[in-house]
Amino acid sequence: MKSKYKILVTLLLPLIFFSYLIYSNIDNSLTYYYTVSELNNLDGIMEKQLRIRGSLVKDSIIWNSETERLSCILTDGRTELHMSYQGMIPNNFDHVSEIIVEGQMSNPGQSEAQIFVVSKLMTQCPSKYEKHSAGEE
Amino acid sequence: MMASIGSITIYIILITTMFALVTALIGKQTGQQWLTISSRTATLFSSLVTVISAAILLYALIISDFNFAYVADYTSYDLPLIFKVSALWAGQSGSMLLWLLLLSVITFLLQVSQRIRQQADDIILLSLLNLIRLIFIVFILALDSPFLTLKEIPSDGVGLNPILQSFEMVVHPPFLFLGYSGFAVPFALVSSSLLKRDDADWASSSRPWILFSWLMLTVGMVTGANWAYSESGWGGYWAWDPVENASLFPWLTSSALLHTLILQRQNRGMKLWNYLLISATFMLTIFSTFITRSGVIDSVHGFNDTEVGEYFWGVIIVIMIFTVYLLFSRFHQLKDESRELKFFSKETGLIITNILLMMIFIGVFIGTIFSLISPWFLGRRGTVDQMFYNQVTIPLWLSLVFLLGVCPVLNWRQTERKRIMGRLIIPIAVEVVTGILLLLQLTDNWLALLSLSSAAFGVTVILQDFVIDCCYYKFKYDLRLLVTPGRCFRHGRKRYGAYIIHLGIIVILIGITGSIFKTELTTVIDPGERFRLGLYTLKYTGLIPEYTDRYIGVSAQMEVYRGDRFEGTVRSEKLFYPQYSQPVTRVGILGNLREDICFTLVGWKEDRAQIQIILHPLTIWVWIGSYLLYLGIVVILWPNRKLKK
Repeated sequence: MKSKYKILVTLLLPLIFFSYLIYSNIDNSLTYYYTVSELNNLDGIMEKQLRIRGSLVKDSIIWNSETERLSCILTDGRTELHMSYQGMIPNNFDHVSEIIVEGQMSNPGQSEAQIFVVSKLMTQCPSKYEKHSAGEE
Repeated sequence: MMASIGSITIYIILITTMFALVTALIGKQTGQQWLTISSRTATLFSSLVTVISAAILLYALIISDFNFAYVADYTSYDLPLIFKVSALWAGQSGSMLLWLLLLSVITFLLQVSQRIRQQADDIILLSLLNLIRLIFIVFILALDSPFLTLKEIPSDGVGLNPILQSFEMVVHPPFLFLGYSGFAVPFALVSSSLLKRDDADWASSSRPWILFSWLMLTVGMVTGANWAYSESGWGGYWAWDPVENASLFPWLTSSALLHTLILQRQNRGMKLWNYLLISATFMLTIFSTFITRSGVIDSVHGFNDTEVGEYFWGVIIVIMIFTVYLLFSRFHQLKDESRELKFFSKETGLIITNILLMMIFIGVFIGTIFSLISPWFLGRRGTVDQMFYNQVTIPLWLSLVFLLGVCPVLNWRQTERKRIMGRLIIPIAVEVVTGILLLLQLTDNWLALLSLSSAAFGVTVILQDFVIDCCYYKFKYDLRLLVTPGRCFRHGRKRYGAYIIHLGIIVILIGITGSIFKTELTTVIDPGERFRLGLYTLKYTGLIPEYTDRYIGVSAQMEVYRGDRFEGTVRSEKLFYPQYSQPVTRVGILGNLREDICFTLVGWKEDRAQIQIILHPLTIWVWIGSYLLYLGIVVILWPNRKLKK
């Protein structure tokens, strides 16, 4: 009986440690989902890591090969957001209807508009490509 | 015409399966033999029709019968034959049919094998498998059938997404589904035993199925990782993507299960826990399919927003209720006699292994579904990134590797401390020396040091155990030195199979540790220009266009030198398919045991190219380690040869 308690305690300690591990890491690596419009009415967005879903405004994509920087405009139909990104561009970037971007707002000088600096640019994983033609039995 | 026959076959499968279920039920109630016999025959027939049904779809895919909406959606005339075949599992309805097919084949094999062993096949077991088959039959009929037809037959099909046109993507889904459907058998075995209130040894009868399904699932996951590494250009083999995590769920719970199943087979308890794990693993296979097919995690939709989502949720809830019902109504069957448990014993080692694996599972599970559950307590959707998974699971993986080294030393019931110290002294010394050498020679990254020295510890314990075994056999049977290892291996084959798997895990850990030292370079470069990265000098030789019937390609070539020695060339290409707006990028990989050079063509302007080079140290060991996992399972499952006396 006594050893049962011993084992219980030995198991309990790692469990507490584990719960803490999960709790603290959720806090550290949390990113919120927002729409482009929601950004306008948000307090303290400068420090937050945000995940935004939106579609690209046609012909807004500018690729600067010297600085290897991509800039474009993201929209949810109502509001537009200027974003910039440096890094690998996914295979199907130009052609997807929606993209998901993760990053932070930056304000380069008070006079200019806010730019969303993207750290991660995502299109959907290929297993989710489902083309549907109207089928009928 | 053919599509209508296809649709009819699904109805026939439904009717025969329902018939088998009803006759089994009445036969069981009334005890009339002819009813159970017809139920068995109907099950066989139903399995056969499933094969025919899949064959019809396969045939339509091969001959490009665009009357089928499915064929038109996933293939085109110019698609190579192998991809026409693999289109069977490219879409949702096709993969459901594949799952149904695999389940049917498994049901058939169970029936036949029982007949061969001259046991009456178990009508409750068959009925349970039929119920599971029903999940997919109803899905195909009610939600998404591959036999829908188009009003107007198109001149050509849409074609298979070019990213999926690779060997890995041909083999990855069937293996995964084979693993998934295999896990239905242990669930059916244990449930039927509980329903019948018999004391059958379901731990032993389900073990080969669990091992087999675990192997298939592992092969599926490794080919998927390989695809991500070589095809998608994500720059890695594992990204903690929800789709990847989904396949990891049943893998983790079944790995945990395999460890506590040993306890049950040794008559050391854990029956109830094993039952729950078998059931959880089965539910997770369905949950994983749902996550993968619905894309719900990354999408804006919630869990229940789609019909598919509602359906799978319903199924999972039904299985849960069934599991809980059996748990309470057959509690005495699942209860073990209480036994004293000493801390320094194999029992405790296996239980802790189980707990660690379950912790990894819970961590990954919470992370994966976080975006769905976060609105409940955060008020809005949030997601966790790769860092979460790494931070949570790395301490657990490392503890597992440490335990994997300690476990072979432990005895059943109780182990004397003297034995533990005696057996661990060399491995600990090796661990410390490895750590110091690595610190002096290679790196001061504490995570890499910890992981590589733990790996050395684990390998040493396993080798030491083998050497001790060999010495014992040599002196006991007075064997010649050369034949001893073989004899020793044959005697403890199953244990050594497990050791090989553990070695595989350690080797994979070494490979993963390499990713800490990943270096990456993105640059714009002109033909003839050279640059240095790591030990290598790379020279860009220019762009080569390529014109084929199916696509137009542009490839960039890079010569790789190490010092003055020419190591080889790597080529990355972008392929433009006419029916697809986006080009496909193929990553060029030049690898050796030390590291892989991954080269990606990002873009170009005339001959000037934007390129990305990633040095992935030790990646090849991830693949070598996974081959060891396969080998280990094969060694364990290899049929017993009758020993000559």
